[in-house]
Amino acid sequence: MDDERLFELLQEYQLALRSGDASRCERWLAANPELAETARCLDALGEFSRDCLSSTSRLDDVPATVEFPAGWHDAAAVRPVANSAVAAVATPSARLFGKYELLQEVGRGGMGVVFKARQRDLNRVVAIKMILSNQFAIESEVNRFYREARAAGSLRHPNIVAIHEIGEIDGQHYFAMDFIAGKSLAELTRSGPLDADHAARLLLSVARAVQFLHDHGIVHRDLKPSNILMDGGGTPYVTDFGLAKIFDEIGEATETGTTLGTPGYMSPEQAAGRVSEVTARSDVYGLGAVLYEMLTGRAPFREDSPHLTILQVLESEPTLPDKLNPRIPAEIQRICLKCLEKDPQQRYSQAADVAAELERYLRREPLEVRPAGAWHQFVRWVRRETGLASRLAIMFAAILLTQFEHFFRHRAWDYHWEIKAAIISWACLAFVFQWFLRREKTAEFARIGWAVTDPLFLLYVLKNAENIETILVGYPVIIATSGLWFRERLVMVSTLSCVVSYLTLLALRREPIALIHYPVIFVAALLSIGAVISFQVQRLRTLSRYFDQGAP
Amino acid sequence: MPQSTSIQVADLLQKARAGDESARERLFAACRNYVEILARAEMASWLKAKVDASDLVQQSLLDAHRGLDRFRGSTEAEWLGWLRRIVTNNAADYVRQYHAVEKRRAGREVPLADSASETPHWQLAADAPTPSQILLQKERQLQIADAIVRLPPDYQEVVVLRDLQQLSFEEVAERMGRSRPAVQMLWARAIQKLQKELTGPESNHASG
Repeated sequence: MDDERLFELLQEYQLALRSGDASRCERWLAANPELAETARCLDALGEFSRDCLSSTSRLDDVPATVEFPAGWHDAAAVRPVANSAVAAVATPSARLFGKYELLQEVGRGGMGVVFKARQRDLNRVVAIKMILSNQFAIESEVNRFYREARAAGSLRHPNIVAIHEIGEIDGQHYFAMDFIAGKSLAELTRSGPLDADHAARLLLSVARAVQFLHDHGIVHRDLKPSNILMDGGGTPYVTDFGLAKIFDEIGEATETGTTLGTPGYMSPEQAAGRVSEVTARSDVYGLGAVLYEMLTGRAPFREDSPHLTILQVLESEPTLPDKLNPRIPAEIQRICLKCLEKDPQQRYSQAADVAAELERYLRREPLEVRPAGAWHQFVRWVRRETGLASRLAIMFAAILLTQFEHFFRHRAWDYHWEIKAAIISWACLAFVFQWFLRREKTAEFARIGWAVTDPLFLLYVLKNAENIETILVGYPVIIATSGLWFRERLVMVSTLSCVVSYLTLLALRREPIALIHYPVIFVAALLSIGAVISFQVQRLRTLSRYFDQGAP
Repeated sequence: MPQSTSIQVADLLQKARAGDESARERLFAACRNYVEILARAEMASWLKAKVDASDLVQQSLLDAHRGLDRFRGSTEAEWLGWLRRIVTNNAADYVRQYHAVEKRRAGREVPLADSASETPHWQLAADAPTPSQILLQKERQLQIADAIVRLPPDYQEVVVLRDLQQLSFEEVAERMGRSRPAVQMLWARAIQKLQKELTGPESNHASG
């Protein structure tokens, strides 16, 4: 390995480490096992630097004369500067952090590390969230962080995780919060969908808590199952509210992607980066996303890279919940889809309305939200199943054309029905593929299936057509469209089947070819279109990987 | 040979407190590199590497010697924390002095000392644990400091600036007066060398 490559790999790991993203570190380690020792060296340096370096902003607090009162090392003795020595030490023997004793690490995220801790003066168990200091570039950001976090910290509600304290020890900013002994909703849904009524009851509590936040001027902005904690009795608690905003707005100082949140649960206005349009209705979308996951066991949108997921959030519609879990009642699905509307104005106007609707659902009363109108349902279907919809549209046009020919030019009945049968079987196949596309495991099969069969049907049409020159443009169109899946492999499959289909066509028609170089030029053109599109897809994916910072 | 430095440091601390002079010597010898790396990290941050950190090291070690009676902790972590505090506070004093005399000093700044050649009487105790043990321990602050000090001077500098001070490569390049790509390559090689120092079979020798 040359030095340049080594540098890139090491820097990638160090950035992942500094952003506190454990899963990215693990992915890196899995991809580069031969560098495991070197990575541990970087781990050790990171630990060393975290333990050693005090923040320069505290400079003026440092007493001019070095003085150590007896018993200073007892972290309970409150002395703001003196506490620094025991701060954030990740060693088992010195897990004192100010007046807290760190008991165990319970989680890691883009923002920092969460510890279970004991507050020594009140002898209670709390959760301490350490905010990575490199999240803040300048002093004024720190001040803003405190101002906003204090506003969030003053709130008390039976379904939100209360923040007790916000502070800084040895340059390490932290919150002390309620410690909820239990799982997050994300862990709960991992084992499969919840019962619809149970999901409704949980979301009812969550929606009321979110309304409470909205009443106090706080938009959560990052509602997702992992931000909803469940205690032993099954009561949900909303956590991490109001922070996303702070981190979004200072996001320029942070590594790209670390504050992006989880695109799968993000509202379209957030995914599009339209920060000014993020309102309480964005949290209504978040409630819908949480409900969707509770009902189906998966996020509304999930692609193999965050950037592709964002495109889905913006352009597509989630698979209907009852297609994934047939036991879902239509009413709760309606509530869910109403929350997940692309246009904020089409959603419930506030979280309280979602709560009221869920109550009606639980009492089995008629819902306020009416089933969507036919046109709206049609638009949603087109967005949801674009592949099927576009093919059906083409077939419809083809049927109209052949019908026109049949009536006005009196074509033979046999010929007419042959074409019709082809189109209808193409339509049936499209439905089958769409069915496969809905399931993650079979989706790739459906895509390849379409890439192979589309040129075959075109071949069938061309075989009997009279003036094939114009219909031949179908091939480049098929290749260009295959690029929309963002998969090089599909573009290649599509290109190859188009070429094969075209060559077969020439063999079948057995017409004298006037100029032998025409087919050669046509095949060369198809191949170059395929190469260009596949190259373009590859570039997009490279860019996407760059911004995902090493995500596979 | 002790199985871990934690035991060693705690043990030395206890003996030193009880008045064992040689234990005291060995305790400070074991922590000398640690104090030096801390001091250089602090100095690099505040004074942009324009000041020799060795004064700060000497002052801090002296303070630690004098203050040992007042130290109440017993674990290695507490001891290292105490050393950190001393270095931080002394560094703050230095910054004040520095700002006061900045104008006078400006013309005759000295580069970072080549620390590897200093103070031979602070040799690391010969019974340091082997590196394979080191990486098994969670507390390896002393070992990291020792390993950094064993690197060639330019490797040391890039590690202190990039990893301890967490500067961007732009800033590191500026401080070191080299191009950014050169500094990046230097860093990659330094990290590899450091890893070998921490894990390689040859690293059990006494450091200077």
